[in-house]
Amino acid sequence: MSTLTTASLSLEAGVAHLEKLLRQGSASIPASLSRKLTAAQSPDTLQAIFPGGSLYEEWKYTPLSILRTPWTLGQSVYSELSQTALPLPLSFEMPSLQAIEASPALESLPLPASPWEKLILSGATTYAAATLDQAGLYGFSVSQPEPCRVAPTLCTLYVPAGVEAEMLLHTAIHPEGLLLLQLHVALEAGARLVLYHAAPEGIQGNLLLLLSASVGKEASLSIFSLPGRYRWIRTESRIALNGAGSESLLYGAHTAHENEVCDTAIRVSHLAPHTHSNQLFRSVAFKGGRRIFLGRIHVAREGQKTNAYQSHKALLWESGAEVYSRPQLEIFADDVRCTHGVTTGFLQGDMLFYLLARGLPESVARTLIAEGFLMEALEAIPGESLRDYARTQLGLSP
Amino acid sequence: MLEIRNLHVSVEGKPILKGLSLSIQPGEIHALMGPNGAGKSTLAVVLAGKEGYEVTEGEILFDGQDLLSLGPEERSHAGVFLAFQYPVEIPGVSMVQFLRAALNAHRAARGQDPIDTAELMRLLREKAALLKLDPAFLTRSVNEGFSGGERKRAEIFQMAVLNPRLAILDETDSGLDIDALRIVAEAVMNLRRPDNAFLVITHYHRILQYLVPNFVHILADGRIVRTGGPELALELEAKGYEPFLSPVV
Repeated sequence: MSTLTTASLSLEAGVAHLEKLLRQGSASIPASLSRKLTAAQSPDTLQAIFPGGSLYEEWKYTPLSILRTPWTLGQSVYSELSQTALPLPLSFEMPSLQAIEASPALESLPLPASPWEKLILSGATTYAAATLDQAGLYGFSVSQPEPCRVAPTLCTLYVPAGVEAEMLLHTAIHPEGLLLLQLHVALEAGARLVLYHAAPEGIQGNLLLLLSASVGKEASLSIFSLPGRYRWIRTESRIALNGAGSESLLYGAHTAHENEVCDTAIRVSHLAPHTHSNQLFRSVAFKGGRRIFLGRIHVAREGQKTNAYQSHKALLWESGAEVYSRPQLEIFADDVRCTHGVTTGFLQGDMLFYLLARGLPESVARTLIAEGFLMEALEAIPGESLRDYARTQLGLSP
Repeated sequence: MLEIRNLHVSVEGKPILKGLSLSIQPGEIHALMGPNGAGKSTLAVVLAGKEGYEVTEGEILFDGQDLLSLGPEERSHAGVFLAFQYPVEIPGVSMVQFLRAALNAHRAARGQDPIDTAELMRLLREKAALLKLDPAFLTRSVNEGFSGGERKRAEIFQMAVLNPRLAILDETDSGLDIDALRIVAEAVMNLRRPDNAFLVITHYHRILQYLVPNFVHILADGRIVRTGGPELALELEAKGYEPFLSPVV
């Protein structure tokens, strides 16, 4: 079991719930839960799956029709990580890792021999806990390869004081499958964790990623949401900056193509003085795609000298695209610096003309503009090859 | 090279150009001057092919080809270059990416393979040196965070890289300090060849001290009302536009 000690994460409740589900084996979801899953759009649906997790008031724009599918709970959650083939076996087919291998910035990081095994999820296991007690690069992969199955997974990560680690979170989901992934992260004083969330090429199924983090004194949590295509994805992040001088840096570049929903809900809570947070997101929505961004900065009375920034810029590629942006500030301290900016608009005709006038075909010009726009959010990624991988994953090139 | 005959252009139904005619031959520098609202920038963007400008009458021939039948990118491939008055920012796209894409589009139009990276970088560094631009500027996003003067120099840098046959400089001198103006003007003169030409749109005589024009045209109320030699610019400097606003050809 995890050495996680942060009580505020509601870990016990989550574990108990998931273990209860596990005991059902491959049986159908209990009737009471099933009723909720097939009910009209309701926060209860998610509450049934993830007790104590969802930002219930933030589901206004999120279509939940996908969750009405009569899901079966299957033995479908596993990891393909292998401790014998560090950094990862080729059969894993995860281009991002190849990119990272080639990245000078990350190449120099020591790859720990042992922590990998702590993250292996096998068979029907839906619970994993790991202590990232060594500096280095960790991998964590969850797959849901079966249609009409729901895979609930709970993972806790504990980063002890002073440890600097990086982790690749990889989610591969059958186009008709649903992965429910709850990730609790606790960083002790002075710890640093950089988390990259990546998906394989091609359209993934449905993902609800619920991330909660507790960041200790002078600790730092960075999360890069790398581009990926999902039919339906909702990422909820609840970051608690509990320690003085702690920071949270969240970056994401997302697209929503036809019949895709890409939904990000963030709540960063500044609960101690001299904390710093940044939310930098760029999105492009295409016809029939829906992009939702709900970003909240909460500064408690104790969060004096907070420095918080939030930016979400979205591009409507064409008519019929949908973007819902909702920046929110809740400030209860009187000596803070909080800024936010949200913009949504169509491609500027002047920008396109500028590139056309230099001889670029329109398709190339549009791609260049969109890629540049999105990659602004991922400029902070260390390592050019990983940035190149992210650019490729955007999938915009004609 | 360029023949503009009786060009009439309207924007949202409002006539801007009202019968403009202009002929530019290879090797020439033409200066186009005129009061605000005369239609100088309209002419520039119509030549480059911007949407929203309706040509209601007249024709534009470029090397005998109907320029108006070409899209903006085709005009660029044909050798027309517009140095913008207000260059836009392209966030997240470096100058290297941008010019690689532009050069490759030009090469593809000529049936050539994409440019080799080493050759590209050599070319970009060479032209950056011509404009006395820090090579670090190549990795910056196009025009993002550039000062007004840097943007104008970046326009001429792009012109140097793409090597057009007809360059239209739309108030490139505005926003440049004295030193930057000299650098830009010297770069343009450096790029001058017997087979290319420049149309310099300006309000001021000072750039014409460096780029000595073969012809100076005064554009007023949508048509050219006076054409002369370099001395006409000096006359304008002394008298202003007022004496020229009544059409006298």
